[in-house]
Amino acid sequence: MAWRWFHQWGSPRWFYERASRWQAWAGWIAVILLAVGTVWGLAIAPVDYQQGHSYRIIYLHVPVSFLAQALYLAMAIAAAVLLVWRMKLADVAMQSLAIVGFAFCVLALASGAIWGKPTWGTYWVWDARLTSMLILAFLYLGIIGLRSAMLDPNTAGKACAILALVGAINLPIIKYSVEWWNTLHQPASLTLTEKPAMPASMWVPLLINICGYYAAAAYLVFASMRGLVLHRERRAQWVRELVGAHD
Amino acid sequence: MIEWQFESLAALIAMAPHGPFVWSVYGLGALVLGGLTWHVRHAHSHAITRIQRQFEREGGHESET
Repeated sequence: MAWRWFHQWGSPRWFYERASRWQAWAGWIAVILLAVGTVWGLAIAPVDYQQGHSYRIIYLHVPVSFLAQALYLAMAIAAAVLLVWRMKLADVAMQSLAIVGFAFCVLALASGAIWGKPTWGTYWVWDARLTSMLILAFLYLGIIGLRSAMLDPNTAGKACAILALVGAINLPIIKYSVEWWNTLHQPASLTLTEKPAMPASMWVPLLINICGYYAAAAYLVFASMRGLVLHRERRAQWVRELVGAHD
Repeated sequence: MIEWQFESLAALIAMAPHGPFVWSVYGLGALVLGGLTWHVRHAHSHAITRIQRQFEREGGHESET
């Protein structure tokens, strides 16, 4: 009974039907939170006395950077589930997480580079945080490329899972890079254990946007997974009935 | 009480002197999120269309035989 919730994830049909509702909820929550958080961050939050208005990039850069790492962690967990339990849905999750995670990682790198110009005087430096984030983007790209290069989906899934698990070693390196090495990059703006260094009028919209981008990522991953589940299960009776109902 | 940080829309857009940096980041963000949303929605509807065509072909073959 305790494992029933876990075994339900083995059913693509169970997931497809429920993910439709989850996707809708996540989408609306994302729209509301991102609208509030972004307007608050851009127009209402006070200006930073050191960085001026350029600090407002934080309201996009920090959430997408968190997500680039969180989505990789989720992909590594899905990879472990695939290798241990051979759950088909875990492979679908890996595929979706790789695409969404790569997009967020590129956005984190680009927004960080643009923020770096007015703050550090340069778009790029080869320091530990930036380089480890670039490696994360290459890991995502490697997993996407590996899957598309292999013809057999089962072999591709296993190969991607192994690469995802090996690449997870990069996550603690990203997190602690600002402590282990001298770096231009500032320490974490928000942590679960410490009081934020900035006033509430600055960190509240940041927290709202972090929740908003997490909801947006959930929407994108669920929507992507539903499309992939349909394609993979195209010969199943429930898909036949479902697609028939779309006529 | 909401206190707007800019006196006009022009001042908000200018964010002197950092407007181009800030707005290019948010423009890029909108592009990426919009592109991803379009991609996943298109992939889902494309999957349904492909399966419908496959069933139509199978149905066609069955009626011929």
